[in-house]
Amino acid sequence: MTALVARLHRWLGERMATRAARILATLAILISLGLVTWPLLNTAFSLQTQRAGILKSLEKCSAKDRDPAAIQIMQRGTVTVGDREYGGARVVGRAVDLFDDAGVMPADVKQELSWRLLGDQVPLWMPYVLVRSPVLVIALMLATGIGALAVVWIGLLLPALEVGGAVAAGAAFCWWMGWPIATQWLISSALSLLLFAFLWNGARALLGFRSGSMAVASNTALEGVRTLALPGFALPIAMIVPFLALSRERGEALLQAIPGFLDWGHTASYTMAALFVIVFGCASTAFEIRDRQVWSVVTKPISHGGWLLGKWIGTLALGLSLVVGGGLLLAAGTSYLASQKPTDERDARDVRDTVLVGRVGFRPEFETLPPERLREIIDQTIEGDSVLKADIANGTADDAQSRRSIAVAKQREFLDQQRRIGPGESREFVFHGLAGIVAQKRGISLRYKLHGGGDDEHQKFPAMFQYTTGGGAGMWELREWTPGEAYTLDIDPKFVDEQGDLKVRIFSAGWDEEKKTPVASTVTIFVQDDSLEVMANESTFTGNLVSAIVVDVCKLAFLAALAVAAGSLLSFPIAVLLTFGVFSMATLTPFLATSIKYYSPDEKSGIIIWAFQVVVLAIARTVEFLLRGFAARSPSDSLAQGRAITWSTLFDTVVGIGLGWTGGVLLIGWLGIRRKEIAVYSGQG
Amino acid sequence: MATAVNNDIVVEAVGLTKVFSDFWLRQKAVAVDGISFEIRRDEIFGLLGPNGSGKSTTIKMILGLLHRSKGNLTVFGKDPTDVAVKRRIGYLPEESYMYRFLTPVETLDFYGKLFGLPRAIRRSRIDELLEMVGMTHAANRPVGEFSKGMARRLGIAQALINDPDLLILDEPTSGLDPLGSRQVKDLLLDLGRRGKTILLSSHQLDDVQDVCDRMVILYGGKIRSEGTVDELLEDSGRTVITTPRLDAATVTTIERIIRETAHVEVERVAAPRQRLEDLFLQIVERARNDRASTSGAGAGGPTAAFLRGEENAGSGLIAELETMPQVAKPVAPVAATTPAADAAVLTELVTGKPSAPVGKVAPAANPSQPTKAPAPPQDVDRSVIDDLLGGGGNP
Repeated sequence: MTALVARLHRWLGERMATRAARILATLAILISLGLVTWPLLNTAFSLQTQRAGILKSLEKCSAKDRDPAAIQIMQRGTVTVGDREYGGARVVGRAVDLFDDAGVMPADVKQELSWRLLGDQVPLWMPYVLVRSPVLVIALMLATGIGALAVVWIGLLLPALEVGGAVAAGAAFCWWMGWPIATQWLISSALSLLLFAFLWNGARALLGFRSGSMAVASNTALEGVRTLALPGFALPIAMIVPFLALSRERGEALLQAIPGFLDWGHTASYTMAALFVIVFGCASTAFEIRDRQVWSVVTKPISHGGWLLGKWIGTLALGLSLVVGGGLLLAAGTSYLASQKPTDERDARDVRDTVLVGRVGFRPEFETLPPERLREIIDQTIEGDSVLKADIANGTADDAQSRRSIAVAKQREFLDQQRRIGPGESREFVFHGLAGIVAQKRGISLRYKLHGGGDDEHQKFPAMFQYTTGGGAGMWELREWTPGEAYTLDIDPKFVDEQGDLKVRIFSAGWDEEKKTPVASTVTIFVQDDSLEVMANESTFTGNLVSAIVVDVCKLAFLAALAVAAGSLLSFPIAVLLTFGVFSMATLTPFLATSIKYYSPDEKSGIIIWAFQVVVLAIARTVEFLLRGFAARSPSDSLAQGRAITWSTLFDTVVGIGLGWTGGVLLIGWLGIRRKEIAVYSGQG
Repeated sequence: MATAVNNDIVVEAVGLTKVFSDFWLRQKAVAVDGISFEIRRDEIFGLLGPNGSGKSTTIKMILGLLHRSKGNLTVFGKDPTDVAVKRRIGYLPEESYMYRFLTPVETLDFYGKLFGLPRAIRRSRIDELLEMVGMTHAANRPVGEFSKGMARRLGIAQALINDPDLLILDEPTSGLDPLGSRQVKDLLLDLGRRGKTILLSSHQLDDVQDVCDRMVILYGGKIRSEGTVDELLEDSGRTVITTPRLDAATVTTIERIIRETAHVEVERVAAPRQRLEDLFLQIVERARNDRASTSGAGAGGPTAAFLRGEENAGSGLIAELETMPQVAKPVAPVAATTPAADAAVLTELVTGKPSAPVGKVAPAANPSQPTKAPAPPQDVDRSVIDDLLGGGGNP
């Protein structure tokens, strides 16, 4: 059976390599594209025409003037254009929110409402993103056509047909079974793999320079593809990222879905790329030395260091293709999710303003107890605790250790006092350093994620926000909040004073509309380190994504250098163990730092154990100190929360990890291999 | 290090020693023990010895793959690890350690890039080399599928991609069929005639005997014997006379004359047997003429044009001159094939002794046909022939 398939494959391969077959395939592609493009374009433009009609009907939409269109929206949630009615009951529920205080529908609301009203008219087979931008249909079909023709004319028609056929069969089966998500997932995974294939070829083309190291790099890149190492690591990315984008739960807010997708998607693609670089970098170098191919290389005009450099460049180029491919998939997935229907207008706006941007954050400053005051409190505490005092006196308790524990507890208590807002109480939080932002006339917002009431995510509590600086005196806003959920509040820049400070007073209270008076909430609000942050737009989502890729590439450069250096000096298993160990420790340094903070050697456990603990602590501190920069530059959270990866972070990463760490490791590798005897003793004895 | 560089000496080893140690720096083996030798320009030098005698270790030190423990070693007057030296060397390891995922074309292209050869030159050389080693039909198959012999042919091709001044071959005929072995030997003779220096390591005695000008015989890491092939192989206590087939009476007469004239007994009279190698080559040739199909390596083609020094025409040369890094390269005098060969024949006819420096076979009339290996040169006692012919010796 296998032989039959192999013969069929060979026979087909020979037939498809002919010029006639290629011309036929070209014609088939052009006809197919035409057949697909026409209905897509026709539908997209038809829907655009209908939307123009809806917008025209909404042109004078004013509840205050009793405009018929406004009344129809308020009463039935619909708009009539010609003899067709758009919308329905789901619009009625939110109809009031569509009008401002003056009863007029703002222009941006009209735009968004028109899309929502049009939603029911979009056929299931029509991607929403193409409805919004019909020009995308042409761009998409052009890209598909060029890609398909390239596949035909560079001789990849048969593999493409076989893979495409398998995917099409799977997709058809899923469609027939009524699994539309599985269908989309299969197709998007196949397209993602195609994207990776183009990126691999692009990476190899970049390495086409005529020099020793670049020749080794190009060969290494080819090795990664031909040995299926790279496809093996790309496949999970191509499957996971589209799956995450397509697995949005029904009714889930985009504000939750998109950050979740970005966080998990980025983590998945970066982790796979890092693992690939570690495993392949070690394998490619260690096995080339073990299997002696390197003999034929370093006896050519290339130094041992040049060979190592080529291995690093080749490995990094492949890792780069994974990260860039993952980044493009993240961009595509985000665009797809952003084009989905939001749960409501606020959801759409919050996503646009807080996730699909790159913002910088300013956190409030909290006071800490001054040393003198802290010492005083510690003395008082010990003095007041007769048992502890006696223990210290008779040596049962260690004086320094006891004082340290009390100091930590008192500082935490002092901080908690500043972060707790009891029912009906209020507390003021001060944000500094906003002068530059205001001067540049950039919009600012307050991101808050409050805790309280047992952090029950099914409960809602009121809170009032009052601005007490700039022109904000007396201005306040009432909001409802759910414990642990993040919200955003737009802030008028005029509330920032001349020193660049913004003061926000938060009340754990609501508003009684009938009595026109504040009413105490039932919960104590707890503010944590990341609970309050004033955010300002710094860059776009695309810019942030590119910055995230640059950070990832710098980290991969370090890992690739470590892998090839280890692989050239050690055997494969030891090299992988070492590199993976460094990667794991570097990734986990925040946890290590926390452990170190609360760990101290036990002097009473005996000199040997104590000495052992001291050594362990010293090693842990050294590792944490050396590698803390690696985990500190993790762009996943920034992407998911719409935080800008600033130029200074980018510069630090490129110079620190990309050049410093990577250069240092390559230097160590070069020193190791420079005089290494590449050959081995092959005689007897 | 040699203080004065002699352009005629390509490799010079003085007291060369290599000691291998284990992890604890305890001495494990003395692979090469204080050997001294020179390889001169324009000669084919053989390293002969049994397994473990230190041949490969010596070669690896020449290539910079291993570092010497003691002694001096220079290649083209420089340290073996000097990258500039490697530009002039072609190396075939004891086994063809190839990238399994590459095709022959990609393999040669990769090595060509390492030498910085321009694309046009790489392409033409790849075509010529693949044709020369009979791999054209397998040019786009992954090397991982190849038999040992096919991989060996590709290994030879990669060693020649840079048209090297010094070609180092470690067991070049290992894994090759007799046809391939013959082609390799013919190739070496061709290259030798072009003024290339060749270092050949082998325990295949025929290989060394057929092509080498000079050799050293190693055992236990030490040189046990050294000299030209003639010096080492001459058996001064024997004389061989070859004639067309003689009848028994004539043989008896000859035996009597020898007994009476030279006072020695004829030890053995026999009809010579055809060499198995020649028989094998004839059979393969017949099969090829009958167009019998084979999936193995094809018949090797003629020596690649660039190795014959014929590449230096057209744009390829211009591109090479424009882009190749400049390396001081001693001018190798190209052997004047025809006059030298003619002179050798004349000398042999007149003196009855082959002229030693031209101990290489002249190129075959048709390079695609396997040529017969040269018979081991043997001194002929002219006086015995004269006696047989009834003459009175040389004038």
